[in-house]
Amino acid sequence: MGQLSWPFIILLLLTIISAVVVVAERNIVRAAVSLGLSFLGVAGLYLLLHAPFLAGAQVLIYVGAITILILFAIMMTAQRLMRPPRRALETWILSGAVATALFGTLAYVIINTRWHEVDRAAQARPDVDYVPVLADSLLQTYLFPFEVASVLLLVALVGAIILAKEERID
Amino acid sequence: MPTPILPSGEQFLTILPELVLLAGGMLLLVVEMVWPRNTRLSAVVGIGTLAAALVALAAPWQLAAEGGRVPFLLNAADPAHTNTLLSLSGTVVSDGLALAFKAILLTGGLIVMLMSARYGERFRNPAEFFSLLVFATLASLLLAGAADLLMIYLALEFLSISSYILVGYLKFQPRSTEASIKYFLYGAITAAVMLYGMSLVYGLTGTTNLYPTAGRDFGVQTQLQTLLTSANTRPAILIAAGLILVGLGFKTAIVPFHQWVPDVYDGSPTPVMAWLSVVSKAAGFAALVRVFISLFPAQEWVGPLAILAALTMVLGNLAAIPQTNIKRLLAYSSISHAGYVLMGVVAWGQMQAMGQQLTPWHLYGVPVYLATYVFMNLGALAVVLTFYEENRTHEIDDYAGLSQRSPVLAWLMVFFLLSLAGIPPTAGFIGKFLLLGAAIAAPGLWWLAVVAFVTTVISVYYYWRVVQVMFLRPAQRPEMKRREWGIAWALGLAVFGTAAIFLGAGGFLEMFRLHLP
Repeated sequence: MGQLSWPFIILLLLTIISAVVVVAERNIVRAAVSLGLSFLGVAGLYLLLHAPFLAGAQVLIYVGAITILILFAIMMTAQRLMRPPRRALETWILSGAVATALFGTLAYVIINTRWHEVDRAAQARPDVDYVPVLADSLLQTYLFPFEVASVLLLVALVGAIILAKEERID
Repeated sequence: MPTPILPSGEQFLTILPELVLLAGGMLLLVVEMVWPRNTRLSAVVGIGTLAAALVALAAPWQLAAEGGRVPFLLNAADPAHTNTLLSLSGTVVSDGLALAFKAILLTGGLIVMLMSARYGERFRNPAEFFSLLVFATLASLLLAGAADLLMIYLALEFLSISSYILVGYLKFQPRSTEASIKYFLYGAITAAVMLYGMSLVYGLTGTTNLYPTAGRDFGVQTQLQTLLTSANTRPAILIAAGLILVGLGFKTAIVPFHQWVPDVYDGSPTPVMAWLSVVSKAAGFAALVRVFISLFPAQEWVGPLAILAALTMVLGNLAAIPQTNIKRLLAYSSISHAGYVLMGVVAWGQMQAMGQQLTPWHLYGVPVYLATYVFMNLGALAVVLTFYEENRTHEIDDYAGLSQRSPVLAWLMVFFLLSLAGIPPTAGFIGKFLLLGAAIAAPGLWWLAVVAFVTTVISVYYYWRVVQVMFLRPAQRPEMKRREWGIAWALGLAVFGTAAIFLGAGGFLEMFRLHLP
């Protein structure tokens, strides 16, 4: 493992601390804003990994669209749910134990796997512009999944309208 | 050896049924706009779409047969996948496994559509309900034919999202909404866990394509085989397999990912419950077989999955005993049937793990069982639906004296319950016979066969209780009069299928005799 650079540490702290706030904060609006911050930190990590397009998409979609959508949803529905009851200590201990165990296992596996041994089609290189590569795979190799995704969005749209529309039957 | 890719025109033939479903689903949305609240018309369009898709399945079938890719199901066991027919940049596979599952899914979808022909009347927009059913069936087909991790994930999400909406369709009933929310929370979390597992696989192999294709001489499958030999990458592969199992286990409702089943099945509209218990489950098994049989090393997962199969059978059957509601009874019974199918998958994997020649018991057990399950479970649920439409109840006690009120319905129920319990002369017997044979033929799995046999005996008890109520208790209500063409057709198809698989099994069994354990 190389030296940890300052930008990396700052982004890491931003991501992790705001993620913890999302879970721990009882005010749901603050939790939502904190989620946006966490997404922003992840976008920064993408930048450090030489994936500027992915970072841009992350900011546009997650920080921009998803967080705003969550805030809208809160404002329109959850007036009475703003302050959920304080969680019991047992809940904290139980969920903490499960999370720690999961984190431990995954961290152990990830650290012990020698990822660089893996024979890869294209190793990420900082000097390559990945936007054309992305475009190629999106509109050539993955054209079919791309189209399936658009049908999925159509169905989700129809479904959202069906479920949200007010009507009285029977 | 890279698998050949079809010329671009022919590629679309491999997804012809999917294209038909897409067109039908869109058409239904238009129908609702032009002729609003026309249940009969939209039901006819929906039924026509599924029937047309079933016919269109002949195109990929023909294409696969031309390339000498028969016998079909054996292809799934072809370790080098030299016979796998890939299309659309290797994202879609048309081997025997995919096509057999697609036939099962479309048949199930068609019967569910027939069942709901009249049911749609209670909705303001019946065509949209049918449209969502068509789209959900489309998603299940995509899952069965997915040859790319990305495609598997996308199809699974598609399937889930359309199911969430269908489950919550009775939005004026709080129980339906509650079921939808529960299903959504379970589905979202398990899908995220599965995606994490897939990202590990991608990180290890550098590709999401399962099989090597033209212009790309490696796939997840070949990469994993090389990687497994290294002790450095082994734990990561096993963790990935476990995480992916969470997502697929949720769809197939195996223990311990089954907790949502009773509440969701009970709360959802009966045709949707039928769809979930048959089509959605079969699609999940298609992906499970695809991922576990052809990707991950069998010797690693056979043990844990065998335990899960045993737990699923025991828990599903024991929990069904105290149920007083027919929908909940069938929900638990559907969990137990997932256990039987999983036993078939485990037996299949065990043969691979031991490096033994696969017999027809192993290759045909899972698809044949799921095919019989489509007919018998949908048949039973069609009876439940007919009963509900007239009596507005799902309590088993209210079935008292059904033999006098409607002898036909009562005898049909007996027939389907016999089949679910696996008693001849029904298809269920053939399915159970194959799966038990597969487990016995696989070395070291006889204990699983014993568990399956004992739990089958338990299941006879709770199915019998329903029969007892129908025949031995006096009727408290007048004769049932309601007749309906959609359900009649659904019942007809279900009876035909349940009987035909049993009768057709004679020729089938000849083939198996050669491979008696």
